[in-house]
Amino acid sequence: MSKRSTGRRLLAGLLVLWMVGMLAGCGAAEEQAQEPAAEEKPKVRAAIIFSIVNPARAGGWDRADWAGIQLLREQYGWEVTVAEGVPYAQTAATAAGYAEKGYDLVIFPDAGQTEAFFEVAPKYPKTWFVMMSMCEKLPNSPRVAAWSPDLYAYGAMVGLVAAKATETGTIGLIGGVPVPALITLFSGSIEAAKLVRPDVEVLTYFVGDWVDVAKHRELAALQIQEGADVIFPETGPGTLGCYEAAKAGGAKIIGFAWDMYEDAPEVIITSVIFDKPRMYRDLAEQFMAGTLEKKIVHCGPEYFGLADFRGSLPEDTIKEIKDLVSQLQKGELIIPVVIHEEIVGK
Amino acid sequence: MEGQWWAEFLSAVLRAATPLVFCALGVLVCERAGILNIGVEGSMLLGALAAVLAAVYSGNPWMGVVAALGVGMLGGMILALLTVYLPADQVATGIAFNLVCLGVTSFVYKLLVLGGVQLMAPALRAVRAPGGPVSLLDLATAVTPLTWIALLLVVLIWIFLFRTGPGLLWRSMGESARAAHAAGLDVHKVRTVAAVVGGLLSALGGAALTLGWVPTFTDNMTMGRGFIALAAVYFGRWHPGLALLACLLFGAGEALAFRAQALGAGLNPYYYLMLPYVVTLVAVGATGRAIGPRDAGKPYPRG
Repeated sequence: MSKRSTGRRLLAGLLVLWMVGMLAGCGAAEEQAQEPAAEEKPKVRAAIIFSIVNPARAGGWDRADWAGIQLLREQYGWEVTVAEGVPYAQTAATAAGYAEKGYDLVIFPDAGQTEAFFEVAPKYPKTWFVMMSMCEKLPNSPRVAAWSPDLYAYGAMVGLVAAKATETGTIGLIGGVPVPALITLFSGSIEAAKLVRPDVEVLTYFVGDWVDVAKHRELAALQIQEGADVIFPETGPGTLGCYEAAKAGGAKIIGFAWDMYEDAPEVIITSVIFDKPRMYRDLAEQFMAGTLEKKIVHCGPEYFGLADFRGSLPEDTIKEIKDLVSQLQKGELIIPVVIHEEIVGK
Repeated sequence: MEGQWWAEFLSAVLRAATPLVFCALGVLVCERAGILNIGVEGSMLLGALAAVLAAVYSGNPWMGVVAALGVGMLGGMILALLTVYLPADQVATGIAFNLVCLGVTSFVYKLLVLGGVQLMAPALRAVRAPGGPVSLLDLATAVTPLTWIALLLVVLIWIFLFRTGPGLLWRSMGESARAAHAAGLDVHKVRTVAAVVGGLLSALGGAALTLGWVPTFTDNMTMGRGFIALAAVYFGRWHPGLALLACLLFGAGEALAFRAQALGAGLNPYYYLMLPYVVTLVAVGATGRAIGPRDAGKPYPRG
């Protein structure tokens, strides 16, 4: 082997190492909190694990969680470490890593992490594991809790808004992946929409993922072609594709979970807000007071609300919607509970 | 089915196929010259991000296309340096390049949108908006100019590769670099040009995905489309026309997957959503063993 060839191989190796190093540097999806000063009272250390990257700018669900994290940091002075882009298969290992490092709490913001929640919590009984999503039962461990939203009631609120806002009488629901939580949510939307407008047609399609903006756009465009003039996308970063289709096709969008107005002011009517910061506040208060206990907190319509309509609909329509939502929150409007399993076929 | 349904379906097929066609051409020109362009996914991501950023900051989508070409050229030069001049293993380099591009684009985009609103670029609009009704006669105006550029490039690249002398020399690099060298051709120079052209076309595929389809950027927004383009080239037996056919087939599968949900056959959406991949697999399987350029992927040492 000549010296020249060896040199080239060495250079190739170094370049590949540099590229991998770049990847590690750029892709490192962990935001490290600063170590507390020795003389300060030890801060509460929490870790939150996201399956998507850049939750601060992702879909509404993750943005609501991000607002909750900011609240923990700013109002309660917690050190919150954020892991982004952790696949479901690696969630348990990531959570275990935080528990090993002595974190006080590990938070799961996504129902897709339920398996990891059940796998890791029993192994680390000294660490609190908290699920901030739909949860029906808790793992066998003393320090586990969940704030579980009533997605049927949330979906019902969406259905009320959509049924009142549509002019064509056709509304579109777009889901990322056909998971049980979405079936529950969309069922609430269908029943509530039909309650206030019996002739409404509800189109329910699934993209197959949460992130592919191009596919989201195609599906939203298809719903618009089929007559939908109000669309509710319950998905992730791919939602941007729905906004684009709505702009091109003259339809309107109901934002999911957080006030999404800034992302597409031309098409967002309002957003059905999910008060996740309130859930995080509950968690922080209870943890700091030492009253956090093993339980599931069921978050009903009192945790949901509407973002500002900003004049997107006529005043009388807005008033009608607000009245209906208020009735729902007070328990005066009862939406029949019917789970539409047929929306995901066989 | 009405004509309008077909027109909407065909325009959806063309929208889905356009980024794939650019990338498939990028792969094809490289492999015809003896370079495996596994890094097509990374180049596509670079092009997608550069196109959005340049279009946002200049206000002109065509500046986005120019920027995509610029980063595509840069990416092609890096790949040429690694695979032609060092020369490193082309498969390993392509995979590493894809991973680096994924990290770099996500990192740069995160820096730029931190604390701000999602960047929405001015798009290359079709004369007729894709969400609106179209008839078969309107089809030409229901897609963006990039679709027509992609179709034109298929013809031009076919003419170049199979109907011109330089095209014959280009292909000889992929079949036997040693013989081409013995005939007096500069293998490294031609392969460098091929890598750069491949980078340009792949990045243009990224621009078609963003500016021609959804004018924004998200992490890993190409979602494996570069690899679909690779499969299209193999299905198309390294021929531009057949590769175009494969891209259209995949686009048709994708458009059909969504429309099947709308038709409401009562099946789980996953059955429909796997349609484009099943169509691709069946198509690749049905074509049998494809034998590509013999020297593709083999480094040609200098000196």
